[in-house]
Amino acid sequence: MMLQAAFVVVGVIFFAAVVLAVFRIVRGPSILDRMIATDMLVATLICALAAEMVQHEHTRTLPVLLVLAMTAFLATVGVARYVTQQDRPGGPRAEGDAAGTAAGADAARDDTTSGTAAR
Amino acid sequence: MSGRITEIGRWQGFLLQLPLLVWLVVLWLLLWGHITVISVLTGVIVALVVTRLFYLPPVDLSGRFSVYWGLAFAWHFAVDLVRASVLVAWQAVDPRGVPVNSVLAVQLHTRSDLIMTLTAEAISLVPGSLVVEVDRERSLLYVHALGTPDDAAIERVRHSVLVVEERIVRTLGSEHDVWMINRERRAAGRPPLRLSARQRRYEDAREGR
Amino acid sequence: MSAAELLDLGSVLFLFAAALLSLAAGVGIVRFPDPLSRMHAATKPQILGLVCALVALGLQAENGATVAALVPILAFQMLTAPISAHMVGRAGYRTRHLRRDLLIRDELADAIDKAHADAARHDTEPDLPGLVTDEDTSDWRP
Repeated sequence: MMLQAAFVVVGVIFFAAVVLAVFRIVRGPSILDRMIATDMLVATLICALAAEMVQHEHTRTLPVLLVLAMTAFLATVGVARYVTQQDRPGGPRAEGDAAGTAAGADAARDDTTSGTAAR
Repeated sequence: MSGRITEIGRWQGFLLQLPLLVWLVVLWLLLWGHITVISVLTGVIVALVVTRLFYLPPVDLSGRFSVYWGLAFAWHFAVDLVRASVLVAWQAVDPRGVPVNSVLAVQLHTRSDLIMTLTAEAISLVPGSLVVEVDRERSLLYVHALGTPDDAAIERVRHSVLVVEERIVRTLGSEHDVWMINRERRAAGRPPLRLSARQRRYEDAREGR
Repeated sequence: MSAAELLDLGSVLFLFAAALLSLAAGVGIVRFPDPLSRMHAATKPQILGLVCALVALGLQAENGATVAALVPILAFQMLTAPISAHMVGRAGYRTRHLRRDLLIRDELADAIDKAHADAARHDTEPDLPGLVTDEDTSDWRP
């Protein structure tokens, strides 16, 4: 009984952490802040899922933990690359909005070409 | 003649890739959660296919690996992780205000990409320090450190990065890396790392003694 | 107290630690004034919090297979967390998303200024601190 109460407290603390992360996602102000908060949200989610597994004594969501741990960084890296590229003259912003969706792919390609072209 | 040389080269390349293959197979087995003939076999096949399909430049392993220093590194890393996590957690709620930060350039001793990468990873994993830029040519890490109110704190962070590098070099650095660290230690008047006979021969040869 | 109860208690304590680390990270992320500081706060639940949560799970595991499944989770998180942290930190520094008044020392800016000064004196391209051969950095200043 005591333990169940403890699990409730743990759940409330996790919830508070998630609320704070969501606050930062809403407030921004920059996209980097939002990505950092999203990263933290995913990390908290992983911990909370683990807590839920302990509480209800099952291991069904272990694969979810694994996939989150494997893939959570991809979005962050993508956005960080995009932000860095955007800052350059000739980056996605300078090319106009039409290039918006293709910008990520362009940025990735730029990488391999511009380095050699600059020399 | 040339056929024989490429044969040797290929064999060495395979040996250098072996740790990677073993790690991939172990990961595969951990993912399946059981060890059977089928899972080991498919693991080997998948590891071979993956390393062929997604070919990366081979990592230059030095061929040295010290289990003792590896365990020492893991232990110190765990201690650092807990201490730094608690410290940053305190800084987050510290009612006296938010910490002052700095970006500092840390000159590493090694020229090895692997050791630089491992050092940067270990530094970034510990809360409170973060690698923002890497100067590969000059072996410089630019570290963003949280909570460095004065010069003493900055030098502490710099020293802690170098200590992490030293532990990694002791674990799997080449003789040249160990020599570079020993040279600096001698110059600073500190005793050098305990030398193996092979390492002493190497250093004597390099310093012309 | 039986062994199972002790294990339960241990699990709960580790989960408490993970939850408190997450909460501190949340407070840090809201309170810290610039993205790079927030980044430091966010790494706590990513590593130590995850370790605590996985230990809590491991204490409850009935067989080796469950424990074995925990190892790759931690391994992947430890491999990938520094990548995203570095990318965000780098992007934050380059796009001036950090508060310079909070930096008491910035040796990267010093190195960049020195490279630009040397380049101006010798009339060559600035030899920027290695940064990146893959992006155009000739006009890059913090």
